Amino acid sequence: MSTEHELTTPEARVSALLEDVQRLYATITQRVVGQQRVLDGVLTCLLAGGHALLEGVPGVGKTLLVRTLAEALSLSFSRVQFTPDLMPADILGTTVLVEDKLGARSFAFSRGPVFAHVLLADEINRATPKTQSALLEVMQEHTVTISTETHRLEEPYCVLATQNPLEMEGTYPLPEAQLDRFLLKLQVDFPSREELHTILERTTGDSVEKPLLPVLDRARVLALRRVVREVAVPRHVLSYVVGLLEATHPERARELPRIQRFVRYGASPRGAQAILLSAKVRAVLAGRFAASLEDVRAVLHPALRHRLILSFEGVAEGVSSDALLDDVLASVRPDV
Amino acid sequence: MTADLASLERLLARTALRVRLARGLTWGCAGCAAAAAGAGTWLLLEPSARWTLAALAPISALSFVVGCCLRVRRELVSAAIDSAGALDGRVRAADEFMGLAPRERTPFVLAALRDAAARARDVRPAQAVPLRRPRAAAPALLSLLVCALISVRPAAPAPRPTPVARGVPERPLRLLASDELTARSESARSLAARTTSTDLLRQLADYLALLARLEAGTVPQETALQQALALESSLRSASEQPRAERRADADRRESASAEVDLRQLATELARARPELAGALQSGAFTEAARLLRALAEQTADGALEATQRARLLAALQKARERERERVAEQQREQALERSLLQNAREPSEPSLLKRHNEQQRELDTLRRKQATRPKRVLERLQRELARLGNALADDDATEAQDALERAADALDQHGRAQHDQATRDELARELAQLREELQQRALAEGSERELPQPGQSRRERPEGRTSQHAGGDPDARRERQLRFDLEARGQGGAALDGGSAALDGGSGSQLARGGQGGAPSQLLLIDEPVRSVVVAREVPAESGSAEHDARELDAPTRRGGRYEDRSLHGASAAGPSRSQVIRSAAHGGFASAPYRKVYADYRAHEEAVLEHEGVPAGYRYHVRRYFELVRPRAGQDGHR
Repeated sequence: MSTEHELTTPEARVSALLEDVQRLYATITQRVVGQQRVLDGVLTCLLAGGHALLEGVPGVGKTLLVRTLAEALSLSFSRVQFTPDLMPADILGTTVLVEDKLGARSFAFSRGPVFAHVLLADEINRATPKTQSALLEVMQEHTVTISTETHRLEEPYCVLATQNPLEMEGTYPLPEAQLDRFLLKLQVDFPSREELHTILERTTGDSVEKPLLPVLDRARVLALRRVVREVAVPRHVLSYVVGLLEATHPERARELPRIQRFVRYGASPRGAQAILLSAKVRAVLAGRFAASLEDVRAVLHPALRHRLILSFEGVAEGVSSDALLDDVLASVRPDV
Repeated sequence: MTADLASLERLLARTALRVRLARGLTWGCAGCAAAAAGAGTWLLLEPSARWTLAALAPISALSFVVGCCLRVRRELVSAAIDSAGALDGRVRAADEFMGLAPRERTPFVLAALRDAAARARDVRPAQAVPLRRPRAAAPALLSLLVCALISVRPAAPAPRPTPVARGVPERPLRLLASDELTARSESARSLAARTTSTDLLRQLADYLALLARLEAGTVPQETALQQALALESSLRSASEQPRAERRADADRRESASAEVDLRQLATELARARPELAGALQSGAFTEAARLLRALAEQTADGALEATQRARLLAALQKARERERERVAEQQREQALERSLLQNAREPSEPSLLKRHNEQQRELDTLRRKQATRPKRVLERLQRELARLGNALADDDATEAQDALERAADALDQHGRAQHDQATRDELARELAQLREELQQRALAEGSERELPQPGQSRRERPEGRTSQHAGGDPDARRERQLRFDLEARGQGGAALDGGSAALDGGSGSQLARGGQGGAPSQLLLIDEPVRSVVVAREVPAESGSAEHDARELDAPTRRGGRYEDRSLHGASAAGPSRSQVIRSAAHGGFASAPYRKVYADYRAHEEAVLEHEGVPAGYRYHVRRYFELVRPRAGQDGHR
């Protein structure tokens, strides 16, 4: 593990980053089988400083993946199982009355589980909108305000939430404002045949699960984030991102009849930030020093699929955001 | 670093050169294909035009050069290098970063430049832009092959000469006898001496120049014919355009009417001014104008005797009396005709009566116009003569002199206009004769070339329309043509019915197509071989018209077809149902007023159910979301 001050040139810094990420991958894959795309997405969120929403049917390894990532990083990790009766104070913390040795009583803030570097919000859509909204400030500002007191969370801070798209009974879909705060929404697919074989072999034998050795510490993660931020972005890539974002808005996408018909509101500027940051991570993970058009195309779907608000007609027709984003990709041409 | 950038720049420049070359090849092939296709088509139409093959090479070369010289976008070049070396946009980004100022180059930008230069080192321009065979190469080759085949094919047999389409060899030759041309020149000069119109003088000068060239034998026959045709067409455009023809026709009728009136005036003046009466009788308007001016001088000098003045005054008053009587008689006849028409055909229904009255008013307007039009030319003369009469009665010598001079001017103008028209007609006849003789001489020489025809140039004519052209004595044809021309101008009384009429003009057939009834319209007949334009007034058709026959303007519209009376009853209803409103809103947008009402009803019901019944929280959310999604939108009226 190299320290940042030893690395002066960009080539050396990127090379070190690649080594660290390779080690992280190797560690995580000791326990998680397959799901390469999801793992890339989660690492992208970690390096870009964003949060990830993992959506998939039960049993495909969402929670395992997040737990394993947290274990591979020597960062504090907490898990909250979201339920309908969960209250904001249960996750943020609350002020309690404490008594010292002399018998004097005072109020003290008792921190909730959000005060960790990595927070796993399991089945986030089971909590009521009131509790879900408690995460808004945490995810955007990385602060918690109780009464008049604001508590800053320690960096790096990353919320990894999971949700189950099948169950509707007793679930509360995330409001648009909260969805917009997730950098990426990752679809956790069903494992392939070979991956299923491996999963069965690993999990149904008598082998005891070995604890993982952390490969990255907090300082290193912050250093990697700085590297990502420094990746250069050519002007034409920036223009392409802007063009893509504009094409998701029905009032601006004149050549996209499906967008005009099925989309009520397009992606917010946060969407463009998410695309660009994710493209930077992808570029640096490919050993490049500048983001390319291909990086943008690769991250468009996870970065924007949860930011398109469909119209009544779109919902009624069962149009998926991914299909609309395919249209956007096909219609928007870079300035070549 | 600099060396890396220089190598990257070199790579970009070499690749750009190959892009130009590839584009030049594509453009060159496309230009060659297009030129070969054009040349092949030309060769098919004109087998002797083999020079077109020589134009293929310059056109192809020019296309190649243009393709090479057009601007090459650097983005395309860098993208091609990226694609060839699988560099993931490194060169494209580096190309952009090279344009940044040094202070704007961050460490990562410099690293990107180094990275791109290092990785692009292995990429060759030929890899990035391979010079493939252009897509237009095959069509170009095919077109060239076709051209070659067309150019080496045996010469097609000469087309069989048709009886009519004979031509004149392209060589200067003396076509007409010198004394004949001299006679024509003298005739034209005498015409020029008599005319005052500048246009006509210019046309006469052109005609004289053509005659001189023909006499000198320096003009090819075809050119001479074309010039004769051009002169004829310019004459036609001056006097035989449909509108101008109508005007000329009206002027001729006015002239005829004017001359009748003038002769009547001359009868009245016979005793007072016998010499003036004689000039008016014989149509010598210039002489009449001169005499009127002399009379004006006499009047001014007081040299006019009292008896002469009294006779002149009496003659003028008599002429005015007769004119008043004539006008009153015309008005009486019209009033009588109107009353007869009204009594005979006045409809009983109010609506038909209204329409009938409108038609009657139109008829009156039309007749008034027709009654006043012929008198336009003479109005000025008559007005001046009336003033003269008044001046003589008041013994006002100055006013009498002015009136006489103005009357002389009017007579002069009338005489000049008549003379110009006569000169123009004569020149047109001369030209037609000259052209026909040229054609006849050419036919006699047996040339195979086709003669240009008016309005048809060098095209072949349909068989049916040329079959009657052959043969015939030129003098007899000319005479027949002249007669036909005069008849067509209204002097021979030719009239055509509204449907269609065919006239046999002696040297060809003329087909006239009239309108399908309705308002009278003009007919344009073209006698093609001799090109006389004939104008005739069309009589409305007897049937097959959407308008009234002019003879039945006062009759109500008759219903010839079958019809059936039906009564339609409306049914009262409560308007669209809720489901219809919702369905139409789903198709046409949630902005209609009925939908707003339906939505308000359902929304109230939803609120009541959610409030009073134990709906699970998740379901409540979906129900609310659903109603939010289907809420009425702002419509055109701006309501929500």
